[in-house]
Amino acid sequence: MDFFKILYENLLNFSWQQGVMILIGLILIFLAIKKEMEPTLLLPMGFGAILVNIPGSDALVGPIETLYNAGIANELFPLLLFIGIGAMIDFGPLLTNPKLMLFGAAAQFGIFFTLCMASMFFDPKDAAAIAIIGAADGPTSIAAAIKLGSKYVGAITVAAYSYMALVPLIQPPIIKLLTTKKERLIRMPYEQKSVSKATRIAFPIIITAVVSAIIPQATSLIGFLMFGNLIRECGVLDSLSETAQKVLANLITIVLGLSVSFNMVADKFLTPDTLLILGLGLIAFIFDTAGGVLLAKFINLFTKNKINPMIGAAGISAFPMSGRVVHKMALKEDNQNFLLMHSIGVNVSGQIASVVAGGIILSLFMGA
Amino acid sequence: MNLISLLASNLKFEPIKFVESLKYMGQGLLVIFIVIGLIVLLTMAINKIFTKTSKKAKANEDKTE
Repeated sequence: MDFFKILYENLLNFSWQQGVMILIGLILIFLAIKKEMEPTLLLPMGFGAILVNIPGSDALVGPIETLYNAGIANELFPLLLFIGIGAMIDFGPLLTNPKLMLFGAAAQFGIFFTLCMASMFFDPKDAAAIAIIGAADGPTSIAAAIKLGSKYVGAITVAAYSYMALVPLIQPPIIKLLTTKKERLIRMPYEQKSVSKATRIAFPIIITAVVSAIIPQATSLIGFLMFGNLIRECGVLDSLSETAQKVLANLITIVLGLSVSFNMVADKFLTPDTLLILGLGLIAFIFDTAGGVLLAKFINLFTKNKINPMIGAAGISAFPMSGRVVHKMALKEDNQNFLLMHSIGVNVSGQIASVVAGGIILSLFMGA
Repeated sequence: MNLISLLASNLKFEPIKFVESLKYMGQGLLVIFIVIGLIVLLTMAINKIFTKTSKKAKANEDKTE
């Protein structure tokens, strides 16, 4: 009889909390495969959640912990991922119309509003880390949460990536609520301007210098993002650019997802705080969207050439989903209204603005 | 223990902190608009500088041809 004990004795250590976490892992895998929601990250995270919640699992205090310490605890993986993201981004639409960047700034409103909301429930540093879910940018959320020493890295990462995937569901009702049909029908002709190679090369260098000089806490985030973009634009490192966009980004994404699951152990993750963090993350995305749309409406009060306020919503960093959502909404209202170049311009500006906002939050709370 | 009592037992709730944090919202939004405004101005400047330079270079090339 003792011989058969080996078959079931581990199962006796199984708790219902671990069962719930395994279920959450399966849901993440389902969403990744069936719904194609951020599959590159949700699938490794989901599988990681299963690995670390099996009773007596040697994966947790072993490879997962090693990966976590090697790349998350020291912020290395999010920063390396930023090189890949920077190499993927074409700032061209933004460079032809730099004023679009203001919408990127306005669409960070959700971060600061959520900070106020979260501070009612959490300590200042945890509240700040939770607020950065509103950056709609996974690497920034992870890096900031780690820098702030938050114990909610797992929940914050799950919230950030889940809501990024849900942008097509979250944004349209908010945009519709805040705009009139007439506003959504505003057409914005796109003037095709060529951007010189020198401008494309100077842009990442200048952005890095300006942002780092004013907000040193954002230096590594903006620096790695812009380094990736410089590789893309310099014109002499095509193979490196391709590697950064594909191989590096893919490789880091695989290990990033698994590493994050280190924080998805039942007793750390399955708390009322996690539910609250998920709720606050949703608030952040809603108010980000509102901030961008409302700035566009405000600008329209003073300008002759009206802006379609929907493009303001693309200022959240979720790239390129948010830009595409706005474009699709415009086409739904009027099949001849092409807002793609404007919305993508605003969307890439959101990428810069979210890093700046992350840096501001860090500078306000790192010493707190 | 039901979910509501679990939530109530573990979470702190201090509404006054919302008001206290509004200063961070003000500071944060002010700084982000200043930084992004500066970036907008610099981008417009480099656009102008390099467009002029590339136009001049093109004109010189045309002359030599």
